[in-house]
Amino acid sequence: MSIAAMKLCSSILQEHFGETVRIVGQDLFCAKSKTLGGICTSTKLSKKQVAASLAILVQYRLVRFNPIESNENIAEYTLLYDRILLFLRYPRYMYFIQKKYGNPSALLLEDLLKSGMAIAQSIIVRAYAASDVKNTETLKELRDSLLDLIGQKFFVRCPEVTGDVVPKLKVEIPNLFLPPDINLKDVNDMIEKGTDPMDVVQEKIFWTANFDQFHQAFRDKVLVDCIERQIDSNAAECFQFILSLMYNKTDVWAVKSNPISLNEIKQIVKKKSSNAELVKYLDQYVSIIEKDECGFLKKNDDIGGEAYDVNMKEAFKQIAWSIIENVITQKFGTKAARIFRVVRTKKYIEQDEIQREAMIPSKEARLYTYKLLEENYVQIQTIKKAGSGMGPTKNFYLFYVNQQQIARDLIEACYKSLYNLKIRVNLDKDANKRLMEKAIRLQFIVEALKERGESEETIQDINETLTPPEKEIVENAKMRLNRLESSEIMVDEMMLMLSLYLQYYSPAARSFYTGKIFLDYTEDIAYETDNTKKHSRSTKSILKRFQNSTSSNDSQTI
Amino acid sequence: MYSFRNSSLTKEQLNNLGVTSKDSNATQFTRPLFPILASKPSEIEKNVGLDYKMVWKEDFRSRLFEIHSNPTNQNSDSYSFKIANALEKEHKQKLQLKFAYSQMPAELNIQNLRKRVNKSKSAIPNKKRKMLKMEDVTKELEILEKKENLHDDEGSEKAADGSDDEGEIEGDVEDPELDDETDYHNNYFDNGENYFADEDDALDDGPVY
Repeated sequence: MSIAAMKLCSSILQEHFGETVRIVGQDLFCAKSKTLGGICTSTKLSKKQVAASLAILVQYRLVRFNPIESNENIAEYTLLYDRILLFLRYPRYMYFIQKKYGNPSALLLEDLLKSGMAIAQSIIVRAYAASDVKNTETLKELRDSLLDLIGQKFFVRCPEVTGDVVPKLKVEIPNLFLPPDINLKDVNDMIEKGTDPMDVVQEKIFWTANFDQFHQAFRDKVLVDCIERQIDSNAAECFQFILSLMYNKTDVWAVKSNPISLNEIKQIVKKKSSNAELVKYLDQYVSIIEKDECGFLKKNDDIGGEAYDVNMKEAFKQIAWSIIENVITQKFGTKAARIFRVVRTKKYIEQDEIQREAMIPSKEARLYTYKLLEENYVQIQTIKKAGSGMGPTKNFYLFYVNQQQIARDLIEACYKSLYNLKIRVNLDKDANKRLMEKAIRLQFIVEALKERGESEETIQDINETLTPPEKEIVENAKMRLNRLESSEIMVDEMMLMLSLYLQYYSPAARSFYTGKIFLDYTEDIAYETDNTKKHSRSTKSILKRFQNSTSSNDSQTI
Repeated sequence: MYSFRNSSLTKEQLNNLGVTSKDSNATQFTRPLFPILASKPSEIEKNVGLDYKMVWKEDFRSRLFEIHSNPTNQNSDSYSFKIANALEKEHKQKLQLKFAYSQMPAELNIQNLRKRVNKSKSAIPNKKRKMLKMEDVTKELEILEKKENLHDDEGSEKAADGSDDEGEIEGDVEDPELDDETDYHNNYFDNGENYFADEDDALDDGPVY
């Protein structure tokens, strides 16, 4: 892990949990794993401070613990830095849930993200306290939304633990998404009496957010959006149905799906789509998607009839290429991008050939090629003729592109830019702190005066306490901060796509870049086994019971 | 037959690739930390989703910071903390997150640590009391030592006088005013008889630094 990543992780810990947690996190970052005593020694913090910080980190599942080999009663802690980086993506998870499942689900997710892990009753009670309308209907709606989120696998059970000094985690795959039994009457009593569910509930089942499921949803959205941009909205809808068919047959994170027959696609579209145009021209749409250069869908000739495979690996390869080319165009210009495309298509190419193929003058071609070489966008390969002696003139120097290497470098660049963005945000905030606070105070005062029905003159007098130059400074600072914050979100989106590409090409990177849940305990947990498939059916039947009373969760925009 | 191998570029190789000495000199310049881009980066499109994400992010960050920013003070019961930050503590208690300690190693539970601290605190006064007792004991021992010395001196004087003074001894015994236990006046004022006795002991033990 790089220094840039460490700095970024430290910065995230600092802004969310404060200085002490940052020190502990950074100390753990530098070591593979450490005991409580070890952290106390190296950080020179008190045992109480370190224990409190570690408790926060474990609560948010940012640290893993295991008993040390020599003594089962002493735990050693390992930092899961990939999970820290997911803090950057929390707003995206929230927006996704808000848009797809509505406000109650968003309240539940928000509470779960704020508490790290919690029991279902606590989540409902706190979400109820945060909701605008407070009645039994709201409570019921929250309970149903919670069960729906569990059914959709956005919430997952935390593993059960043994009662040892250093608890051992028992992961039971079939029970991961088993809905809890929530008695609304009990929850209502807790709200009325003001008791904390953690003190009352006997059998505590802790829940946490399943980020894997969010990433799967984002991945699908990226693909569907790509199809929409390349072809049209009907084709995008068709591909959405193909993806849903893929999940019935194949593991969600499989590189390539099992064959999906055209008949199956027709059946599902007829059954679920209200788009007459899509139903009428379905064959053509499938054919266009298959022939598209993106290569998302490939015809399978191995089995009889017309069948297709969804090729995730190829899809993300193409997406990664387009990201890289965009970066090169932004950084070095169109000529460099052209050279890069030539090297990419020819696989191995000599310098003279590059300038010929790219139709760029020799000197300029050399300049851009070496710029790309310097930034590691292209690599150089020496080919030596066997038995041709030692002279350099006997060698061939070929340029080639290593896509995985570039993707890794770009992710590193993302870490650096995110850290720089955070530094810049803090700098701007500190520089304009006094004026911004003054502006906020004025805003509150003016609002209060308006509520009281004060005259316009009085309000104007109050407003004038912030002079025009001060107003300009505040406006500029706000605009700059907004730009920096939105850049942070955009950089994270790019980072997600590159990490999804890497996870398909090097499975070892999967856990690291996408923060796979519970990877530390069992490797195959997120992969749907036969047991989980059976279980998901039972979950669906349980959910149906609740859904009778659930109001329809239409997608809601803000 | 070709052999593939990666190699760093030597001067000869660079020359062979067409990089002249002029070019290599030109690249000697130190690069700026933030080089100017060939084209202006495209503006980020503003939309409702982006605004929502920014507002939520800021709110989430500040809320979490408010709850966790000072983990050591979460359960602090020091007098100054209670007095100085009473309002803040009350506010924090409202936000206080109940940790899932059952899912963590026991050593992370601060309440457990506090109990241990209390135990150790209660152990300190006992130790102090013991220390005080020891001091008392040493004082008593010193007094007793002095008394013994007095007895020894008196005994030796009596041995030197012989049996002729038996009547005096009897008289001493009979006189309640001269009894060691009741003659406080005699004990209180040091007559300087044993002034060198302690010095001898100190010399025997060696110098004291």
